[in-house]
Amino acid sequence: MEPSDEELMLAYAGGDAGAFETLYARHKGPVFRYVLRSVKARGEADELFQDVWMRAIEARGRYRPEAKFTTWLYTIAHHRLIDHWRARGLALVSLDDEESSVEEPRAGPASEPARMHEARETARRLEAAIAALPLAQREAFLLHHEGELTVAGIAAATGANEEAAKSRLRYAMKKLQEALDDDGT
Amino acid sequence: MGPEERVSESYRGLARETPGASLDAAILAASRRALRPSAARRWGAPVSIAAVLVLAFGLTLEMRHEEPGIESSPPARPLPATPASPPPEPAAREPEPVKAAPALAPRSQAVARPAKPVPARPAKESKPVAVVKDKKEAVPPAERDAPAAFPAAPAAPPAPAPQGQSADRFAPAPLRTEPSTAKRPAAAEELNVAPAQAPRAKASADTLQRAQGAAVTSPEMRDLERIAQLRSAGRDAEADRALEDFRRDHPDYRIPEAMWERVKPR
Repeated sequence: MEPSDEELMLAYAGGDAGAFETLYARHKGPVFRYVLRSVKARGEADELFQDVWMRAIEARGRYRPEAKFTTWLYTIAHHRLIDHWRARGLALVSLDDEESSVEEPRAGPASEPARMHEARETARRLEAAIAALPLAQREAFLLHHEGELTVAGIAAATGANEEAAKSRLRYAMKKLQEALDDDGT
Repeated sequence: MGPEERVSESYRGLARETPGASLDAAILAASRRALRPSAARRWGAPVSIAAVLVLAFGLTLEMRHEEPGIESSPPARPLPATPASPPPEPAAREPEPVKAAPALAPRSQAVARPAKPVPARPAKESKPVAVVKDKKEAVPPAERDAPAAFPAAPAAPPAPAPQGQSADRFAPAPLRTEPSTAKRPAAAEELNVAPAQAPRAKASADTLQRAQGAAVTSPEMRDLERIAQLRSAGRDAEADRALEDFRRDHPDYRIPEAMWERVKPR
């Protein structure tokens, strides 16, 4: 039986370098995609991704197994993204009243011919739809699908209450469905 | 397939981007580096231990330099014996000890060796101690050379003064002030002298020196010594009366010449 993320993190904090390698191998892809799809630029994503793991390494002594490792790791990632956006004059918009601020999916995929149902094309449209989501909704969606966080985990990682996290995720899913339906029908 | 499942399924179909190999290597290297103790932590303990060792070594050296001063009194005890060691000993300036223990030379030499670094200072202090020590250590040789030196004295009260050759050999050392006081109680014990008389014997070191020997413990000699003290104190009338009493009590006692010189009427 493979050790859990929490056990590996504790082992690494105790001096086991191999434990971190296992942990990194498990989560590097999801975290990288979470960052990459949040900032949309590979160069920035690389820098942010490295910062996230460096912060995790530095904070290894403060890790407590009471917190789920992925929640702890994505909290670090979320804070790093907040810093990134603040540096660019951006901020997460409130999602409680975000319905009015939801951006429409970009034109393009939706204007494709209805018969183009190839999986690759659908994925591209979905990717575009995700990129068009408001930051908070997109983050909730990515945390759920990449980090496999529950609503409670999303709330914990983003510092929001569960209702807000649930709302963000619901709105994100709805918009993505619409984007797919629009293109597919 | 529900709408949400469709989205999730579609999402899983997206490209699965991963970080580059160089990024992986950099992060993993950082993770290993973080586990290594820093230079300060790595060298802190060895440097601390080395510092303590150096300090301890330095202190030890320092104490070794100071050793002669610190131990001046204990090794000084045998120092007076150094006069016995023939030529180059600084304490050889004192003539008395040289005369006192010629037979003790070999033993005392060995004992006196540590006292070399402090040649002059302990000369005064160590005299008494040395004599006592000499006596102790010299007992076997003394017994060998002159076994009757002390025991003979009580056995021959009429000739208490150290006139014999064997007595001469020990006479110089007891003549000194401190040695006599040091020896006194021992001698008194040996001769079963009443304890009350011991303090009186301490009264005048000078007088006691002259009365050295076994004879000094005899009742007659003590009386004569008391008379001599009166005489030396200028209380001639009392001395004369005491001398008359003495002659009356001991009509046939032959006063030694040396003592007579001290107690005779003036």
